Amino acid sequence: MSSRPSSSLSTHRNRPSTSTARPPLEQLVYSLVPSLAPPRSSRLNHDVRSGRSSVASSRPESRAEIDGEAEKERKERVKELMEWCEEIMESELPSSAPLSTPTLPDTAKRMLLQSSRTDSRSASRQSNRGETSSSGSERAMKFSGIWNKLERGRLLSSPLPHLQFLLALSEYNPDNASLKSANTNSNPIHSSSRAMPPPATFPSNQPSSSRQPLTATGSINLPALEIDVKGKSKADVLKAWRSSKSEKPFPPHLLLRDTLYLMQGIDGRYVRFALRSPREQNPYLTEKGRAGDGTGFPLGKDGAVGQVDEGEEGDIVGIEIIADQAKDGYISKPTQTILTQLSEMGMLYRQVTDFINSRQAGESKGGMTEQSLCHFLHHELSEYHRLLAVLESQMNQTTEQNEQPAEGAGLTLMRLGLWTEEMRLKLKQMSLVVDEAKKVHGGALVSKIHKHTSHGDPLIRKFTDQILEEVSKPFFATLQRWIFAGDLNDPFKEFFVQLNPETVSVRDGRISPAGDVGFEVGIDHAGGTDEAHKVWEKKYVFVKGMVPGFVSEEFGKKIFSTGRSLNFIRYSCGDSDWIETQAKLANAGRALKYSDLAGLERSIDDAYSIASQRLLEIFFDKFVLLDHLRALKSYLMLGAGDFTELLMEALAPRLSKPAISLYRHHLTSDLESAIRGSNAQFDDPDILRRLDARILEYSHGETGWDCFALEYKVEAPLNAVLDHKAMLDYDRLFNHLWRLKRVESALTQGWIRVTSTSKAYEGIPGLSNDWHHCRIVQAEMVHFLRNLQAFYQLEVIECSWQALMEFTEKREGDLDALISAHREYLDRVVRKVLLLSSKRDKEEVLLETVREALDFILQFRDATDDLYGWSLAEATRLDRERDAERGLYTIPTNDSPTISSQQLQSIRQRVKNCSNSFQDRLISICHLAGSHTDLDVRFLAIRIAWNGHYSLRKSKSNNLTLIPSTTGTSVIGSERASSTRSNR
Amino acid sequence: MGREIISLQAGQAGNQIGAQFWQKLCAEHGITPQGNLEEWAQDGSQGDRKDVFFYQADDEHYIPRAILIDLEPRVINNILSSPFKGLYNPENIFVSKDGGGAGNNWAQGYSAGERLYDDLIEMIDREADGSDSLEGFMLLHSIAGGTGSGLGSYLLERLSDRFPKKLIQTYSVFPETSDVVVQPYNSILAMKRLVNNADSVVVLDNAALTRIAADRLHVQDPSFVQTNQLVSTVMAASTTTLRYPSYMNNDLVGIISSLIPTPRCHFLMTSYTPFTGDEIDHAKATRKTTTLDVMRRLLQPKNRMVSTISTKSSAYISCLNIISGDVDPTDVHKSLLRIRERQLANFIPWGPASIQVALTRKRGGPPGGPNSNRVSGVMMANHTSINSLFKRMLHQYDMLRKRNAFLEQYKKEEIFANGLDEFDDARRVVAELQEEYVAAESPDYIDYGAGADNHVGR
Repeated sequence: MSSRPSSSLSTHRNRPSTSTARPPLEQLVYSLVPSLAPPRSSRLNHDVRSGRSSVASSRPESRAEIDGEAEKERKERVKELMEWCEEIMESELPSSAPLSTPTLPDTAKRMLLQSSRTDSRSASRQSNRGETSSSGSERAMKFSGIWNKLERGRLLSSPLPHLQFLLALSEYNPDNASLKSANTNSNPIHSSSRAMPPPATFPSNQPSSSRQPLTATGSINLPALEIDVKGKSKADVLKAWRSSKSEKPFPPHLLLRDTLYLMQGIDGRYVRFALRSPREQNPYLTEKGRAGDGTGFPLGKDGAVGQVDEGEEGDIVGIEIIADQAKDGYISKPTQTILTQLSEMGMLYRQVTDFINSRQAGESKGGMTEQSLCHFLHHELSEYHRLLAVLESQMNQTTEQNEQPAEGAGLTLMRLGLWTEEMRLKLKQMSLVVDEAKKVHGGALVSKIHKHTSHGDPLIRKFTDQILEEVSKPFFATLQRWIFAGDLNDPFKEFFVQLNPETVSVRDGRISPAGDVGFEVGIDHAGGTDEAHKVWEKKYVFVKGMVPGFVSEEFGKKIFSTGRSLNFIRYSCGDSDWIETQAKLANAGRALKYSDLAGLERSIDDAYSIASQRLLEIFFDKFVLLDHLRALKSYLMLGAGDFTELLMEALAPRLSKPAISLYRHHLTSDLESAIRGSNAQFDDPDILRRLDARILEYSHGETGWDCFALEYKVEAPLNAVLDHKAMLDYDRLFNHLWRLKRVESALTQGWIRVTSTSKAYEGIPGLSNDWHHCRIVQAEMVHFLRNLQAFYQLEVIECSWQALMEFTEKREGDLDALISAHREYLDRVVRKVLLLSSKRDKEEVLLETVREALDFILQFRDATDDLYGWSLAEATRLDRERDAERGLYTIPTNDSPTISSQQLQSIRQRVKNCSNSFQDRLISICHLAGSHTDLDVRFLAIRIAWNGHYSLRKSKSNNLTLIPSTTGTSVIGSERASSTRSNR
Repeated sequence: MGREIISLQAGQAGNQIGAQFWQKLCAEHGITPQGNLEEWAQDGSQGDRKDVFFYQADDEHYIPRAILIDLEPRVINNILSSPFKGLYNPENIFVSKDGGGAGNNWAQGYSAGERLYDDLIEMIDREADGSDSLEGFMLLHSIAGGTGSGLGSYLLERLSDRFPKKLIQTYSVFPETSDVVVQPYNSILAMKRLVNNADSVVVLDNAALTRIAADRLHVQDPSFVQTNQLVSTVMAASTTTLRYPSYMNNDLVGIISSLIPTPRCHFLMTSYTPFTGDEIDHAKATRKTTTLDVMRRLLQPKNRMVSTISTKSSAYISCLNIISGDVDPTDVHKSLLRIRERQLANFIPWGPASIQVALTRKRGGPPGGPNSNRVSGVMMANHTSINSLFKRMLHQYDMLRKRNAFLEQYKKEEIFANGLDEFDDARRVVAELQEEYVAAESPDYIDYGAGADNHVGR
């Protein structure tokens, strides 16, 4: 079938040249047959085209021949071709337009449109051939698209001559000729035209316009031959024709030998590998195209783009036949195809061996996975070698026995192809794996390979399994160390658990490449002060990309956690019972391998639960985490009421002074006595020694209340759970709760003055109403404070604690679960105690209001204290007056009733202001809390406004402002004011 | 730490209740009748504070901070022949030498108090000096008879004079109608001191106690021991937060400051539920109790240990529930919401009021002991319906006084030597109290007493 163009050429070969070659034509010839171009390229960049055209076969058979002769012959060929081309164009073609006519593309388009009509006419024929036919207009459109691209892209140096030639070529084959030939030999021609190998590596620039007519025409020159073609297959016809031309077939045993060479990746004598020519030598590319801006060039919708982009120079792209077919005989096209197919193995072989060699030469960073892959490939290649050896001996036998291989025996190219089919698939798979291995390594490589296990071909599936079995061995070795010993033994970073590079850099390269023993050193070196939380959190990282495909991510996390737990137990907890865990793990551990994935899951599940359980046990039992959490709740969240009250009592006088007068040793001694005096004394000394009183940074004018803090010290490994952030949160909680406690104690003392010991000043006229109001407001304050405290205690702290206890009772999950459970607990408490809103920028609005309300309570307390003082003084004064009336001697007094009543007015004003401000705050607290995002905080609003007092309050606020109005400057005035009110 | 509370038990009822109370406290704290610690209580992990009600002698054994006073020896002799005879400090037991008692006469008891003042104050001073920071006194007595009522009244007056900054709380048993003929006199006279000299009075009504024993415990015709057990249970429960400190309500002042907004309205009523066999002899357990059950029952008037007549406008001025046992805090939250939803409680209109809940995990007793996890609760509430009690008291007094009956015995004593003004004054005080409680049901209470300055200030 490859004979068609060549035969057509050969018909014209004998024509005398009639005209001199025009330069565009010559260029055209060069571009069509690049091998004839003057800067003679030693390699054909498009083997198939060269294979299709017999021009290639007429090339000088080897470069070794004298250049001069070749040059001469070349020129002759060029001339010949040019003449032929000219003939084509100047022949009976009606539409031959002059070159470089701008209408040329339109002509082509028109023709395509027309061809649709002929297509529809010959629709039956087309469907016979099984070709998909696109309509003419579609093709025309496709063409113009291509044309535009070509022109705009300026990738072809002279597009117009090309088009002209192609047009001419299409018109040169008149329908009647093809029809005639179709009549003469119907089937073979069609089958052969179908069997024509597609231009595999070089996509036709004009597929629609050029190929269609060519295939339709078939072998047009056959009628010219004087051979009886009737009743013979095309091959026979061809053979007959060839023998008539005295062209003998190429000796098959030579080809066989070459093929075996090719299969080993070695160039044969007659056939050798064609390598990709450097891009610069592609004659179709303009300067721009060669420069790599090949946007316009790859037109094919298939591989062309990829090839242009990805292919490296020197890659094997096919084979080329360098045998002198004229001398040694021709090599038919089917044979060439078989050769190409067989040579693929050689190419694959070369890729694989190249990979192995390069890896073994130590070029890449390598890795255990890669090493075992190389090992496996080596093994498989020796298998291949064995096969080749067998084949070779077979071939030798054949040639010895008989020069011409007998039918049905011996080695032929076909058999070679058949026998090596399986190996070819394997090689293909191997080269695929090799390609992947170049890009990724370690776990990622394993998962890449694992993807092939879902291949539909059972052979490939099985083979991939074999590869995996081998390749995953180092992975499983690392895995085993990791989940049973908590050691990361991964010198090449292939595992999906890796040391955190950040921490490594911190530890100034103590880590030896063989493992992570450096951490042990690091921690010991730092004397355990290192925050365990960071070690736990940051020491290792989980690399998602490196998780092998057969391990799900969730499972990977489990593995990650298992090893991390073990590692933590070992290095951070200094666990003496380590051996016990180890022993348990040893029982759980079986040899892990790829083929036993179910066993793997079981082992890992076991190891995971043992390791996590152990770690939790260590935290709960050895490091009594629960006791620490309880201590934090008792002391920093003021759960231990007796302790808090003693501390408050002891510290109150100190803390009321300016912050600058505070001394830490005073605070610590007060703390000490509070501990001794309360039930805290029964607590574990280890817990008590962690308690410390601290003075925060203060600014000028602040009192001790503002800067006192109780501290709880934790060290590694406890601070894996109680990390720095958590302790800051505890500090915040303490600060707020302590403030509340302070106000509570102030209010309680106030209650004793205002309510309990009221007898002392009961007798003073005109004041009872003031005091009554004070008491009512104070009751309101007490109510607010108690509810706030009860809310914190019950709804927030106890409920959250309950949730935490549920977790600790179950003890499920690993340290991460514990950390997050504690985090959740603490977050919940902080959020609700500090009444934080989820609204941005308004987070602390409610908290601020509460603080203001608390401040007003303290101010109110001061004001009532003054009122108390005034009342006592007044009582004394009245006593003296009474004594004087009775004629008893009294010490003359300076304070007149007017001055004291002025004092009273200002005190009343203050009390009133504080009350009103407090009540205002309280109303806004109710509103804010009532519309809070947190349901529990809303419940706080419900608690405070339980009996609906605060929703009533709004309408009654006018009444409230009437609290002892300032009308009266004397006792009597005040009396009048109150009597008017009571009359109302 | 401090916060010690000295108990004074006066008279027959006071001493009987006291004996039960100390028995209960000992059981909870793990103190044997001899004052030693039980084995389970020795490691100090109970989280309790024994020093509020006990002190340790030189030989480490615990002694109640209790002073036992009676004018007749019978009850105290009973105590001294009980297994707990070794518990009390013998120096703190005072029995009148003549042993004649007060003859159910307030005036006689009061006079006896005056007479015995030196002896009594010596005991009280000694106890007060023995505590680090005395929080207050707790008086257990009945107001119907002679000793508890009269001598108790005298003690109240002296205590508030001598310790003006200490709290005085009383557990006062109010009489049934038929107890003693002159009990209206005794009651009204004692009430005056309870109003003026005590900071907080827990009212326990004999009628209600009998009713509860019958209804709740299915014990018909309860013995004194059984009703006293009811009282001692309530006392123990309402002091749990003092003895087992947690976040709040760890001192007496903390509790009563949230319950009592104005000085006179300091009469608290209590409820307790559920009573079971380990609190009361021969009581039958009803059924499993949930937190909501407890909190709901506490609000039911029939569980109150005071027989009052509620009207529509009766309201809680304040309310504190102390729930102990193994309580899920979320249950409390839910129960509160439910109570509010169903409006099971009516609150005063003139200020914010709500149900406060204090949780105490510990119930005392040996760990794992019977019912150690059982949920139980006590309510202490300031409720305006208590005025009906005072009203009845006034009525009974008026009935008796109208006839000028039985006054001779009173006139014999010094305090009435110059006339019966004391009766009138006491009546006035009780009437004022009753009025104030009624006034507290209305929103105008904010301005209560505005026009009464001259009246009070007389």
